[in-house]
Amino acid sequence: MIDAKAVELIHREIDGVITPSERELLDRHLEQDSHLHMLHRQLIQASDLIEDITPIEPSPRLKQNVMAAIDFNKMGLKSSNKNLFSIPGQWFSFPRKRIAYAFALGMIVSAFIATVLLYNYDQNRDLDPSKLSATIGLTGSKNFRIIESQKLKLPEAEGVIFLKRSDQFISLELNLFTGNDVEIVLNSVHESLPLHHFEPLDNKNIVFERHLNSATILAGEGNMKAILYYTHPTVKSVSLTLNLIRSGELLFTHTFLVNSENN
Amino acid sequence: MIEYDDNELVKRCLSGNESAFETLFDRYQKTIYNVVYHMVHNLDEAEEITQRVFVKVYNSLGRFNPKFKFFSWMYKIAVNESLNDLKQKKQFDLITEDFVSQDKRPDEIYEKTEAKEKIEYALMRIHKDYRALIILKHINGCSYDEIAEILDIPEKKVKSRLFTARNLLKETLADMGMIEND
Repeated sequence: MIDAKAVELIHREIDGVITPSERELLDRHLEQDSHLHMLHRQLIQASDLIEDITPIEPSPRLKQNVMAAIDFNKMGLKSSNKNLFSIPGQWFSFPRKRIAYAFALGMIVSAFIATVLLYNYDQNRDLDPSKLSATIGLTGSKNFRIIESQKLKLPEAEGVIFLKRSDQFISLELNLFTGNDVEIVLNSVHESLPLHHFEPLDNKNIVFERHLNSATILAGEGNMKAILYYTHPTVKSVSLTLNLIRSGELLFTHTFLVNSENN
Repeated sequence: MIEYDDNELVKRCLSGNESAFETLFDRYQKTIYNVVYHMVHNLDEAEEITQRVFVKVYNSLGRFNPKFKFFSWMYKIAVNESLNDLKQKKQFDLITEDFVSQDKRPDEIYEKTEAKEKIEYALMRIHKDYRALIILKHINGCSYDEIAEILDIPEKKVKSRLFTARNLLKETLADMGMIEND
């Protein structure tokens, strides 16, 4: 029976890790056991033979074949996909998520466009009124500030009249309750204070007539709300006279002064 | 010219550097080819399997864990590919046609073959799992822990299996008259 410890020492010798003391021990075993001695010789010979095998050179075509078989662009693409600009491309490469991403992108673009449009709209509201050549954009403008207010309390008409200004624009805002048909005549020198436009806000009972230096509003019974816009481009002081007439009778008159000071 | 280590070359491969992989190939093609050749003992098959090994290595580079040795990882792929190939072809420790001719006695063949081929023949006669151990230890000079990593078995098992493998090889070589017989 061969000693297992001695066999292990033989393998340690083959592995080249045997220590001098182990070597001595092995030698003693080998001297005492002829079977072990034979096993030792055979294993050493086998080991020497197998280690004598010289490596074979692969053919040059191996490299060619391997390099041709590999898709290097694939790895390059994977690598380049890591950069920031290609991340959206990677996301869109997931077919199931394409619709969701497209929808999200659409929402983002829409929100952006809406923001731009609303911003522009808001900017337009603050445009210089002198650039306005039509009758839009003045009503309710926050830019008009009150210069003068005139309360009216008559049996035939009751309410308040505001004179407002925004840059070179003057507005006369009539908020009246008229008991019977009344005629409101506004006189101004056209060259100095031309009427830009008339804007009835409640035109059920209103008839408006425009003349060179005057404007006439015929109002029926009930509430009347209307605004007259004038242009006042000069720095000169000008006047605007309001006459309230019923059946040819002057019931009320007031002259509004417009000058550069109340600009 | 700067010589990069394996891990650095792997990194470069992963960033799309083709020449880095070429360097790795040049560094290991001979070793891998020889491992595979000694496993299958057929030049054409060895070339085909080696090609598969390198393609697999390249495609799996992203999964390589740098805490392990690159060559161990590559050997593992090479050994597994060889074993799978042998399994598929049912070459369970059979002598290939190259070695055996039906009308000649084995001893007659051996006389005509060189010593090297006889040893390779002996190697082919032992079980493929033991053959892999002999190849890794004696032809490629791997350590026990490296073999354990390559074959994915504990180091103790590597040691005991290698003892068995050596005994099997010794017996085969003795039967063939390559070494002393009892």
